[in-house]
Amino acid sequence: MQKKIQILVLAVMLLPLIFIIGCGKSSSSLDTGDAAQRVYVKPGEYDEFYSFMSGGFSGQLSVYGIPSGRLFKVIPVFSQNPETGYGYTEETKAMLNTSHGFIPWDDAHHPSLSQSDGLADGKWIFINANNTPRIARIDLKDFETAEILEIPNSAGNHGSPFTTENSEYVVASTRFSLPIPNQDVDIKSYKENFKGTISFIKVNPESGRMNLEFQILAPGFNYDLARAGKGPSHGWAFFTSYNSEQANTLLEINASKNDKDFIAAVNWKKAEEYVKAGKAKAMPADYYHNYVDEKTRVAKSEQMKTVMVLDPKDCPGMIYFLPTPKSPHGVDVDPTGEYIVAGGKLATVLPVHSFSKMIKAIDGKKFDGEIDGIPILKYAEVNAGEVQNPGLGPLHTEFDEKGFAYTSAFISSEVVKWKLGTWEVVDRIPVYYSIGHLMVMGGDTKKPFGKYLVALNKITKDRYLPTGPSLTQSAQLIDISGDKMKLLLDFPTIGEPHYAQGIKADILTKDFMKIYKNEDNGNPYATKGEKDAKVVSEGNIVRVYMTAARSHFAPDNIEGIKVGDKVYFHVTNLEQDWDVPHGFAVKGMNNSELLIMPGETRTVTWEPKQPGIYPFYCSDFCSALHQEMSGYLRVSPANSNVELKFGTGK
Amino acid sequence: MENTSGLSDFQLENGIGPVTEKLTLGEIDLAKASKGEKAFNEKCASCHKLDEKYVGPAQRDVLTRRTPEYIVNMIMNPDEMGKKHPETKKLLAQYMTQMPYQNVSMQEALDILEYFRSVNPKK
Repeated sequence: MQKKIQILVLAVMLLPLIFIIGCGKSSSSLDTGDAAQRVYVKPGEYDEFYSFMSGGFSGQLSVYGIPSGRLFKVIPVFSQNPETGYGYTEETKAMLNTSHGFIPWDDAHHPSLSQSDGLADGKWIFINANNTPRIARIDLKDFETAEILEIPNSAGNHGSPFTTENSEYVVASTRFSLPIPNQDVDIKSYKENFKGTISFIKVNPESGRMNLEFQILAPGFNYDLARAGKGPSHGWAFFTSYNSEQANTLLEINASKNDKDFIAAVNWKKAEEYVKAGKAKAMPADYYHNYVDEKTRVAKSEQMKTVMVLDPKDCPGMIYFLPTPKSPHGVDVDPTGEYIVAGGKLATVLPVHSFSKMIKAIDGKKFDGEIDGIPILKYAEVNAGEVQNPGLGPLHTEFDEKGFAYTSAFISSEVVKWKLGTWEVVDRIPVYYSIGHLMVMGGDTKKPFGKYLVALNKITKDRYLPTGPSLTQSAQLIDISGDKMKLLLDFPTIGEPHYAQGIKADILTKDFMKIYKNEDNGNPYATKGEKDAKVVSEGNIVRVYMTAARSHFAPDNIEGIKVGDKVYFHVTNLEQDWDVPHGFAVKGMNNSELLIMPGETRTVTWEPKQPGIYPFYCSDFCSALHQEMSGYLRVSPANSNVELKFGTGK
Repeated sequence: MENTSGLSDFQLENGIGPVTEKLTLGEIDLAKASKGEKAFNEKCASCHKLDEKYVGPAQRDVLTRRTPEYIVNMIMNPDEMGKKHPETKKLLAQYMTQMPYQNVSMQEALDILEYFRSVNPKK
């Protein structure tokens, strides 16, 4: 009893203190509670949006749920992935072929969802490889990389792959100018010998198959980013450039001298006409086109030998330069298609050009000279307005559904919200740290979903528990539904989350694939039933036609393999149920394991070096008897006469 | 005996799934049976043999043990059968492997049934 009274007294004495602490925290904890609720997705429930974020230097594409920030898929694109066998299996290796040989990695920057009438349609997503110029197409039925096209006459394929309004084309511009065709020249001959290219890659509306339709030769600047027009500006595409100084060393200083560089505005419908009229020259080139054959689901490579090139000198009215301060990075077209916003990286204002003014200026020939046959329009004749005080180092702009624009400012680490038409800044919010791109859900389309903005940051520093010198990369989710932006969530990302695309989940979930059907398996080495499982030896090539089903392989005992043999394991997963992959791994395998989806055949090779017994097993936990899903290979010396034998359960 | 399974008498005898009334079976159709044999080899044979216990029970005499309707329901709806049907639950406890869903269409399932009829010793 006495004890209880003491506690009571203590509680009364502490009450004011609790009250003070509680009071001090109450407003922020309320905010935190609110933010937590906004991003909380109950276990078992789905996020409202998918977000596809580039994996940066990981070379892959990652898939997150928004608003939860949960990562639920990494799609291997430009880098080998031993977790699934992508880029190692006989079925996928060809995807990474290039004119420079097999390349197992790259730096992926800008995902771009395919569009119909200026809206993301959920069919495909494209992404660029920066280092060895390529564009990949990922099929959103099964979230697998379906095609990779190399871009010739390009280096640092940065300004890509932005889509036109109906994905007629994805575009690509070259960051580094080069001698075209490439050759051994004095680097100091830059101004004389180096050129840029702007590429238009046609997309087949049914199959999605890409073709490098034509390239436009451009002055030797650095082409940075791009966007296609929409609505009234459909038929045009815009490309930023910097280094109009044409420096070839210490660009940091030497490419930052001019007050204005250029946005190249390309009338691609006009360019198409010039190609049809025979104005394009066929130039020898060397590039690879890799794609997954639809019937066999095996990747093939085709070596391409020519590219059609348009020279602006022969094609009046096809391309114009819009002077733009200063070393502009992003070029973003608003939902109405009228405004072209340039992220003037080193500018003190954010210049916004008007498409309708640009057309008038072209009609009225308001030119201020030309470069290599490309007329330069007068700044005042194309400019619609300038956003004052847009933050330091403005890079990229996206839009919401209410007439506001959001610009990322790298140097001042903030997102700046401003109004289209009045150019007035209405809100700003700090981000942590050094934001590059930002992404509003659907913010590059004709009808943004709005609601959330994702800040894609370059530096993470102290935002998470430290993990030594190497830290996670990170993104931040910001609520843009109200007048004031609100920070909701930090979440870690893979590689560098360079740019992203957001799409309402139900656009993708209304039509998606759960399994590959056994009857559609066109792999030439598929085993359609356990009865057909076998081992065939042709000289020193041994082919194992193996099936996997819960919870055994057939065959699971194999003898007669010899040192010096090259063994192909063609493993077919016979399951037809959602989410029942099987793995396959042999002791001492030098490449990767296999992960085989239901109805799929995947092939891995193995060259045993020592006689002995080699166990193999299923590496994806598949059933109660997963641990039993295993087998033995017997490897005999090269000259032995052990007979080829195989079986299961015998 | 009182039915405490929560299933109807029809379901107890004929399984749970797309077949909810008795099938009318005519003479054995050997063309269908041959299609059924192919489907059985592709989708079932990793776990079932005709004459020996394998991952699952032997199938030659399955029609002696089960009704045709039960067989079709089991092929097409194995998950729910494994969770709710007392006979299937007994088998799961015995074999310790849930029979997987193999995306078999009704036509294929009827073909497989025809195959079972054609190989049944009491046909």
